[in-house]
Amino acid sequence: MTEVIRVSSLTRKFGKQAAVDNASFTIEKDAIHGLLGRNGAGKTTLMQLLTAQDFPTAGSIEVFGANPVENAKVLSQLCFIKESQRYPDEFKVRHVLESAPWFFANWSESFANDLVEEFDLPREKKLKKLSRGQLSAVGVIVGLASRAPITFFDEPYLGLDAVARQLFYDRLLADYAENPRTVILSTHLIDEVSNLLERVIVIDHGRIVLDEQAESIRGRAFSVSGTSGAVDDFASTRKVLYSSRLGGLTTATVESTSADDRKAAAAAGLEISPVSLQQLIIQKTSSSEREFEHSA
Amino acid sequence: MNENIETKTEGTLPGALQRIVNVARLHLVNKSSLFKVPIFVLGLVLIFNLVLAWTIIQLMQNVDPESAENYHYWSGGGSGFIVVYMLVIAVQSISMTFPFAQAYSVTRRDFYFGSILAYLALSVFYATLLSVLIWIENLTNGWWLNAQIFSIWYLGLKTIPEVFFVLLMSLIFFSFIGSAAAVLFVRFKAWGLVGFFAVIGVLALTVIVVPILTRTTDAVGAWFVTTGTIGISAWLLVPTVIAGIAGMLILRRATPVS
Repeated sequence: MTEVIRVSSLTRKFGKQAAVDNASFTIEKDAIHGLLGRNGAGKTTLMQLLTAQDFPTAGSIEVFGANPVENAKVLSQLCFIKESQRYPDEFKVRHVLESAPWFFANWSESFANDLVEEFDLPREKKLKKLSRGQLSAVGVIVGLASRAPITFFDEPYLGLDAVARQLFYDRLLADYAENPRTVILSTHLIDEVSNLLERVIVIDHGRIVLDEQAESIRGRAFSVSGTSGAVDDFASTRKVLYSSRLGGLTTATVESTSADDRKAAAAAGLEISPVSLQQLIIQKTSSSEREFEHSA
Repeated sequence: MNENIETKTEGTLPGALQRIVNVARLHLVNKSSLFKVPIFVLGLVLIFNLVLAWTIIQLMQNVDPESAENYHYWSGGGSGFIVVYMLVIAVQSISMTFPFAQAYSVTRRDFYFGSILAYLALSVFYATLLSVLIWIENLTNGWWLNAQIFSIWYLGLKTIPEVFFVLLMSLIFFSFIGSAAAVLFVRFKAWGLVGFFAVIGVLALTVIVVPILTRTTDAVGAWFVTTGTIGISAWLLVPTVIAGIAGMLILRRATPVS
């Protein structure tokens, strides 16, 4: 496993507020990473720091082994269209498509053209006249067609309908398979992208609260459902992340990696189901970390 | 960890230069505000003024044919408009293109040099265009109506190369001042512009007040006269270069944070 980004004790403060708070993590080469967190958790700020659009208050960032600030060698390998990206006022869609190849060495014109067709984007329309969804599509197309060695997608689905979102996920996976690269996808729609992600980094109030392989997170917990009595019995000796009761039935999410626990649940006549990434992450980010550790 | 690092960009020039040229192309890719609008306005200026000149001549012929014969229509607006418009172009394109260039992962240094290159190219283009118009104006004896619309002979210039030089220096000066203002806005938002106008105000006051206080008004006046338009245009290079260096330093820590 090669790392392409290494972040150590990174902090970015705006006034007294820390948008990124003592974050340390690495990004692996040629893997799809999910940068997950609630709105305002610090996702965009973190990506702006990684791409040298913003400057850290403290800590260090290495991209391809070097500080990315004013480093053309490093920056030319990155592509980051922000969710709130501003474009020159009079720019039309075609101006973006015309100029992008000058800045991205791996730019694929045919891929970009296909995507413009598929997203049904009007080339002659001014960017400021585009709908939210069409604007997101511009960002998605530049991100995909750039084939930049490290590509960032910042909430790329905003305003896109279900069909367009699926199109993005499909094209990303297909092109990624043919042209492996490092992808960092920031989103708060976790379940929708959970199948894409190989690695998950969760940020909450500027702090990294989870940084793991997606598979191992999924294996960390499971849900059991059955009559309330049976579920309560089973759950009483184990760590429950979440439970809900409906009539005489209870569903509980239990944190456990052991196969014995699953066997015990089955023996107690409970129904076992895998837990969603989203549910686990909600647990991580809604309860304070201390509370979480104490109940363990 | 350093594998796969390449700096190839489209084109054949060496890396850094190619990147700067690409930024200049990014500024120029949308032709409408840089070329179509100003050229259209120049056309309007020409047509409106010619209609006006012709109407005045017709009116005068009814009253006093002899003075109509000698009537000399004069408007300095044509060239002045483009010179001031360069400032607007620089302010607009820096403040709007910077956040976008950041998305294309352009360094601030490359962005700044590329912007400067674009404005130099635009200045050469418009200095040439205006010089040609002034040349035509001369050749046709004021568009056959004895009208001066683009000419700047009143500045004491004698030849077209002199006109070209004065226009070029003024265009470059205004575009650099415009980029310095824009960069201040990009970095410090509204306070940046307040600071910009404060500095301009202090400089203007200094130029006016210091000669009065030191009782050197006559000497300063004499300097302007002896230096002449050509000399003063050349001297514009000094504030131009200062604005250029200041802009570069200010942009180095600017962020496109909205």
